[in-house]
Amino acid sequence: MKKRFFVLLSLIFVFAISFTGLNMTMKPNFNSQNAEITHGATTTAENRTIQTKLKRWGYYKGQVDGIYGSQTREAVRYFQSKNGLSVDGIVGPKTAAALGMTLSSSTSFQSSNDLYLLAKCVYAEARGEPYTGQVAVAAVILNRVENASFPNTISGVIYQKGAFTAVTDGQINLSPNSTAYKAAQDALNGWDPTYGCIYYYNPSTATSSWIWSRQVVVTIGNHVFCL
Amino acid sequence: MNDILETKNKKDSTRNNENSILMSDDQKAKHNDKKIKRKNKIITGLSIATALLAVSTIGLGVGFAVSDSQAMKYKTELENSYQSNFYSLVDSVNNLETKISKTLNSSTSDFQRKTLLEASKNASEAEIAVASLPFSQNDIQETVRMVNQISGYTSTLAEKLAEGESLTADDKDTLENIEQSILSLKRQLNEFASKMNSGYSIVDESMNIDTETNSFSSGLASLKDNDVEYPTMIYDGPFSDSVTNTTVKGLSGDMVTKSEAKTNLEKYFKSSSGARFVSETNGKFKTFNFNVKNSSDETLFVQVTKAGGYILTISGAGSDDEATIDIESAKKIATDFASLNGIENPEVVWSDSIGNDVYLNIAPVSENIVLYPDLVKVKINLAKGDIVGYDATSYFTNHVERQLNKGSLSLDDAKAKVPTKFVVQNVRYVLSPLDYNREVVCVEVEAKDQGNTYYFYYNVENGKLENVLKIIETENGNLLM
Repeated sequence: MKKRFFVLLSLIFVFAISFTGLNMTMKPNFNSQNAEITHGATTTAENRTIQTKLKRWGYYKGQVDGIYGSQTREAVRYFQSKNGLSVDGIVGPKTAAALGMTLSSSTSFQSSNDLYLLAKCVYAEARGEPYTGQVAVAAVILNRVENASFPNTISGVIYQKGAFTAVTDGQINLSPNSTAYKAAQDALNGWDPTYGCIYYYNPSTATSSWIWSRQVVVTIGNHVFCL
Repeated sequence: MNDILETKNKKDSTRNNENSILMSDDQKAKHNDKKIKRKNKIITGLSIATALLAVSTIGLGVGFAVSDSQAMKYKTELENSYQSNFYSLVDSVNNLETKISKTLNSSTSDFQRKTLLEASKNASEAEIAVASLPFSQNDIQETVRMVNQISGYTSTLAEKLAEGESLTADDKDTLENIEQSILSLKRQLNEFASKMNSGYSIVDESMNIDTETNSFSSGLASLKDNDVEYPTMIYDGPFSDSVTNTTVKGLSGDMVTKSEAKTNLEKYFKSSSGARFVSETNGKFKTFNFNVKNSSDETLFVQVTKAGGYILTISGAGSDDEATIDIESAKKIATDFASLNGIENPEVVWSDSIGNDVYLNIAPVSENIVLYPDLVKVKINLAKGDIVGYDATSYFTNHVERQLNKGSLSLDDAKAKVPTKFVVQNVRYVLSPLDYNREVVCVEVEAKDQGNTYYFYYNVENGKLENVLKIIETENGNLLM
């Protein structure tokens, strides 16, 4: 009996090893990103107000923690159904009015995906560069968006095949730091230390002979920016 | 030698025999028992080892098979997505060609406007599709440029028709050229599509790297040059060359030397004795670039124009220390700095704070008209009130003496034009940069509805609504769209 048990155990063990080992090498390594949970347009403070009101009126039994979780959503649905509102679990302007509150950020709230994408690309491509060099990389991406020869969106430009090495090798999925965010923000606000450049390269690693023929505008840190 | 060994072995064996003779039966049995047990142990050990080996081999095999099929799944997913993009590229190019030829062969401007708008849509669809295929970026630049410009050109023509004008002979010539280019692109794509129908794999070909490009790109290299001739489109519209090739109009003054530029910095930064020259810029603007330390010991990158020695841009990240100054003081720091730098009558027209930094837009005001085309952007860090960002490129690109008049539309007239549901917050005269190099004096009406803020721009000449902007709130400040 013992023998069989031992064989069975080793069998499981071997299987476990071979699978986890393979899985680790096979899975693409996407960093967990602080994905935003969207539930409408309410802030933490507003969620607290919603929870407090719903709790007082007996719609909500959970904690007042400012987190718009499933319990809060259910409570909002319950409130909506009792008050003749369309039941979607989201506090829009009408539900807010019925709750006797006005939302600070109205329906126009929009998450800054462009900023996030831009910051990711800046961090992946130029995290070792001086601040201005990071702004310049972001500016090049935005100049490409404006330029007829490139795609017309930030995501289109960043994910264009072979356009950025950091996208090809997956570094694009690293989480950007606050400097990269600031640089991306500045570029979105119109800063462009390169005055319209659409290319840059590192002269010590650039392999394409074609890139050397472009008109150089400025060198910032390790990158040469050109038209 | 061998004989001696043999005799020795024989002797040993006889001694063993003698020993066994000396053992009792009981002992013999015990001895045999032990022997068998040892044998059994070895067999068990061996068989376990063999089983382990076999099992791990099978496990690895199964694992590889599973991961291989997983990889196949990923590949198929990717291939499907590429193929779908390829076929939509073919579709939109086919449609684009049809729409252009319909435009050329119809006589009413209503119909032309309709087909031109559709052509514009097809062209931008083609752009999205071509950019999502794994072409090497350098190989398709010309194609992307062509479809983008066609999209811009056709929509500009449609706008022209909407305003009551009609297509000129030049417009028709350009459209005919476009049709020829599209036809040859269409031919190539459709030939390629027949390849796809017989088992071509975009994934395989795009992973297969030739010298500088991949096989998929070189297979369609004719997109890059050869047959397709790219018509030059002279117009002011989206993606027109005139937009990218703007010239510097607002920069005058004597050329300064590097050391003059450096001395000049003392005017702006107390600690500029520490300014260090780093590089020059040789683009649209010619500048000397310095690294300067500010009072928070942060290194800023400062560009000084060779003509006139003005500060063109400053960039810096800004510290995260606690804010000690308020936005009103920040506004004063910004306008003082701008006047020092030669900006005439600067006024803060927009502000937005993000984290510890406040972004201020400053516009010169001339005869009560806010000159938006000459906008200067300043970023001030609220920890110590340091200027950590500055951008006067628009000012120095656009600022010229202008003859402006306020037309016949009064501020009150404009207020009355806003739909009644809006609550008006503010009105003022502005010079508004409208699409592609056009500047128009407008009345700007800031109005609110259900918590949303909008800006309406009415032309002072004819009261026409030229533009509407909406403030979009994001977690990182406000956007004007």
